[in-house]
Amino acid sequence: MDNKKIFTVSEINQTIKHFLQSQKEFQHISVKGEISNYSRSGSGHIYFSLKDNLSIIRCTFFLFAQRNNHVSLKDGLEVIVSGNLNVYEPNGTYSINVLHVETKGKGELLQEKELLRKKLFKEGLFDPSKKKPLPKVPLTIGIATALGGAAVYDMIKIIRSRNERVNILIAPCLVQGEEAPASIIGAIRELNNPKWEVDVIIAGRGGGSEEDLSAFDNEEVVRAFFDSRLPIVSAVGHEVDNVLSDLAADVSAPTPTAAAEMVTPDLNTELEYLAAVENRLFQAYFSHVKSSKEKYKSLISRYVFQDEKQFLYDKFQKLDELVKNLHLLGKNYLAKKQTQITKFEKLPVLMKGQMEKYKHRYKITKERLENFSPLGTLKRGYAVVRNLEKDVIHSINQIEIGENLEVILNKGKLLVEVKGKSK
Amino acid sequence: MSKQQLNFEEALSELEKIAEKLEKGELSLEEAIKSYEKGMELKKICEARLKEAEGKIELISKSEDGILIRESLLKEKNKK
Repeated sequence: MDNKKIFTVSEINQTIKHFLQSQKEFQHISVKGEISNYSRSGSGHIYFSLKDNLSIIRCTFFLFAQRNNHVSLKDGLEVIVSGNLNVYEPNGTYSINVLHVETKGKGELLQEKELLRKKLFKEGLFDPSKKKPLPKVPLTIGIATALGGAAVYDMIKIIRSRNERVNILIAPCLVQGEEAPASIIGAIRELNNPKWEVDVIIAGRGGGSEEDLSAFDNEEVVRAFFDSRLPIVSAVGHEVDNVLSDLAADVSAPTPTAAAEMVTPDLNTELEYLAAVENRLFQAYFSHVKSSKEKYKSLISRYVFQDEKQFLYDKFQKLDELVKNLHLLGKNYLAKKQTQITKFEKLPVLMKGQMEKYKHRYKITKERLENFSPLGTLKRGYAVVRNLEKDVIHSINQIEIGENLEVILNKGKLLVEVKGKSK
Repeated sequence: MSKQQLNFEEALSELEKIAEKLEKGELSLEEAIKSYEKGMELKKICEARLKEAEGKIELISKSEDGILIRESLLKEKNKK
């Protein structure tokens, strides 16, 4: 025992402090655990312990280091603290001098978020073809957000500055904390209820820590965005914040005010545009009418319209020509008819000649006929004998002696009695 | 579709088409007059649609008997 050095309490604590603090691996350490024994001193320094299921370690979080802290510390919260190991000599205790706190499992959360993103992507929740267009002129804009936040008033301000007419209907909901997901889903579903006659929805909140925004990474919330019957804009946090609802919404706005701007038609701009189109309409119409007028003008400037008398004179001249032609035609016609009439005048002469011809032919034919008739034979001295029944007698057998007969001569008849007959 | 049922987008796109057609100048005078009149009618519809809303600001809240109702936000807005 004599050889062994005997330390005073102070000495040993000092030695331990020196030893620990000279070890580089104990500087800039990060430790994860659950907060317990949280307390805040009047000077603003924070004291707590970090524990897991086997062990516990003290932590000090001085005011100067808290400036960049966004995590609200409380017992039971899982965190990762970063800082240096420090030995407090008077008490012989060591602790972590905390310089930075982050929510426990940031990496894990990110990993989970990434897994969820992949899963929902595969399911088609982010499919661009499923995105609905925003209505150009909504009558009512539905807003699902926290009533107490600045975001809602910023949005109303922007909407009203652009358009004093459009209606705004707010469905208040919790946007952070454990109850936020169910509350947001309820608000989105309610705004989709046809009875409210909403045309487009903005769902979101103002900026906050990643944890504050995490409700918009919740699977069911993301699905509610996708399932929205109405076009829905995701408006969460600032430009840098990315939540899964941004991907599932029809449109993602960098901030709530940007969302308000997107969905609200600027009344003056729209009215100006309408006036411009009206002007185009009028110009086109006017130039159309003008060109028609010019066409008309150039048409009536032709001589016929310019000098009506000349036009009439021309017409008279034409008429005269027509009449002249008519006369000519008439004359020719008459001349033709005259020739025809002259021909008719010769008709009697022609007829007389014809008649003579016929007379001659008749005489010849008659003479020829007469030569062949029995009368012709009688002329040459022959006679015809007939009984009183007018039968011509060819044979003596036809007659009896004493019978009266008729003898026809060339000129006149004889009545004779048969005295006798011989062969 | 009757004129009354046209929404802003439909009326506006028809109006733009008519303006283009007129600008091309291929219409007869009679068609041009008709198109112009129709265009003016559509412009009026667009304007009416833009001014249709009444500028209400409301929130959905639960009434005492648990039914969801519209409630004007004006009071709260005035507070700000």
